[in-house]
Amino acid sequence: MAKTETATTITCAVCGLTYNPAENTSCSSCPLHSGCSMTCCPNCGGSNINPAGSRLAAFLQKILPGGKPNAQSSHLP
Amino acid sequence: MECCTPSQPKLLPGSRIALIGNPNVGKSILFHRLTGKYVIVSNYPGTTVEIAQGALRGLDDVVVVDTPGIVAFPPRSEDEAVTARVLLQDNLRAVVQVGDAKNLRRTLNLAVQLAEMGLPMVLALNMMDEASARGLVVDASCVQSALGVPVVATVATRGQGVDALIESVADAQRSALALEYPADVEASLARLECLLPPAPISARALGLLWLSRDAACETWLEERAPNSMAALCAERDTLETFEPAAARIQRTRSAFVEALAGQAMTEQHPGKLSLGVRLGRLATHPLWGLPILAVVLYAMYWFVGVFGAGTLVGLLEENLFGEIINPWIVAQAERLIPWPFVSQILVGEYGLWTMGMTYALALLLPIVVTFFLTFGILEDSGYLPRLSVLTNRLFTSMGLNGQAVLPMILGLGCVTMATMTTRILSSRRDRVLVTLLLALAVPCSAQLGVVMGLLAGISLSATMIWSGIVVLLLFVVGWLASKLMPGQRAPLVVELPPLRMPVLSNVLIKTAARLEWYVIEAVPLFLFGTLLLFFLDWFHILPVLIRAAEPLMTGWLGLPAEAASSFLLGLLRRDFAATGLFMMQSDGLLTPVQSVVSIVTITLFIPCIASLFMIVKERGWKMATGMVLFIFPFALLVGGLLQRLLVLAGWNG
Repeated sequence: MAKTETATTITCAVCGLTYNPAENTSCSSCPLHSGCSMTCCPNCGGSNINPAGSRLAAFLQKILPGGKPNAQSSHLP
Repeated sequence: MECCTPSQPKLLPGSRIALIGNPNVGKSILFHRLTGKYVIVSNYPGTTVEIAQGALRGLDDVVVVDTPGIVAFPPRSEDEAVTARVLLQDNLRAVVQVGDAKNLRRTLNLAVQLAEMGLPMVLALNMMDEASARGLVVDASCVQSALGVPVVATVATRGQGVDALIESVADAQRSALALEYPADVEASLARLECLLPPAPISARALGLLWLSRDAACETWLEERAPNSMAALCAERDTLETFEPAAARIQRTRSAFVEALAGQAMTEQHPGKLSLGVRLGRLATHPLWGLPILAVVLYAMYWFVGVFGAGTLVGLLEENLFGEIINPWIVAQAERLIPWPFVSQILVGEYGLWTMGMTYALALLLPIVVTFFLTFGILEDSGYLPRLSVLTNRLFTSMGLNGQAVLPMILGLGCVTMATMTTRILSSRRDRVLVTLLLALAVPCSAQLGVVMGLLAGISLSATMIWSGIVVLLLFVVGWLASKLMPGQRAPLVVELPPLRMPVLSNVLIKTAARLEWYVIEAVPLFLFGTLLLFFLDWFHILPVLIRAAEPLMTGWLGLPAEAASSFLLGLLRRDFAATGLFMMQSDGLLTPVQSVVSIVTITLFIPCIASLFMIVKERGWKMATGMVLFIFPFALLVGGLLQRLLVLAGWNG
């Protein structure tokens, strides 16, 4: 599972690439996704949450116990 | 390939050492182990990308530079481009590549590129403890002799191997690794060496970057050899055939990496492996992976189709909206609004509330919520990349590039997004092929949810027929298209994350974000579609259209003529059409055969108007028009043939 390193950096849950969604050219070229809260990994295309882009997700982060954006999942035993 | 160690530069005062590696390999931890507390963080000149620098422990005059993580060259982001610029512009005494021992192929893929650059280099194989925990034994000496550079095993989190690494840096060696590329690439490299200016990296490596269309290399060359650019471009263009030179270069590297990883890495007895590792392996096994996939799909079918589309939709659509909310709103609207036109817009047969909002809130919402929850769990668990590996063989048999699997899997989330991600594919042929397959036969999450709900209301055999037809067509069309557009295949390189227990808060947050995105994008479009239907109906155009479509709807597809209005909505989004058909089925207007035929036909339509725009943007008007002209008649052809087949077979649910 991804772990956010800074407010603007996202680590892809699928391939591990760390990227800045603001630099993600595929999103900026999308004509109908101005309100989109997801970002696509420029390496593998995996969709990752950009917590800064969703008000609902940001609200849940505040109220859920341990609701950090992209919190670290535990490995199976 | 040849390999030797021609020189051994020492660490002189003022030397600069760059730490380079893939993302998430423990590079920053190792940087702090190598440098200690005092670190300067500043923007790399001319960029907004921050890089850290610090003095090497015990050697204050030697500076260590921590570069942004890079997957491979050419760089794909501004961060990665900074790493390329460090290599091309900084006067480096040595490069330390930090690699993840448990993902050896990915590590070696970058290591080969760095070794070819001819800079003094050391490879730190980090995370050796995690590799051992997964039952992997990595032979560092084997990698060392193959690459011709020192290889040091490290566990940065515990500081293991750091002293040995510092000693090795002092003896960093230039590798003379030179892979043998296809003859035309080799000939081009030889010609390029005469045209390229002197560089900190080898002329051969610079030539390879140029042929791979590395943007950082292009900028560097434009600054240093503006007069040679025309000749360089002409040389590069001679290599561009149906397949980019970058793909052919990468294939040679991948073959070398695959062979070396096979020699250097062995797996311990599986009995010692943890449950997660064993499950993860089974999930990618060509035989055992299929029952696991079947269990995953059945769980998804049950949760989304039976629970979401059956129980939840029943509660919301029939009980809450059908019996309480809508009768009250209709009564209030008819009582308070004296103008039939306004009243009908709101609460008529095609009313914004009675159709648009009711469909969106009571029907689509529970289905997409349950689907997004399932997708979030799959994503968090690490199963999706394993699904990519499992399906890779099937896609390869279609003639597709292994990397094409990722956009196809992602298309199950959103086809529009997946169409954008086809740009990660290296050849135009693959980009066109995957775009076509995505547009034709990969249902997006919302549509998949509604389809599951509709089919769950009939029988499991209906689901099997629908999925069988869609998968079969996917393969037949993909195979035919690959024959018409031949090209060589590149392998799929996926780093498999460990199989994990999803965190509930994560899944909920992801679902919320996806839901917000869906509501913002889909609901206004749904209301627009409803309004369009209302006006068509109000001005008596809809009955004319339904009558005009009757030969196709009733005569060819065997559907009620009213299904035409659902198909009209399908021009905006396929899930809207599926929702309309879902309602018709719920009202008893569709037989099982008609339900399956209509849902197969609508699945094969162009996914949605956003996807169409994306196809135009990514592939151009001509290609998009060609795809539409192929997809619509094809969808109707398949629907008609399926109807006849099902009737002939006597299937009735």
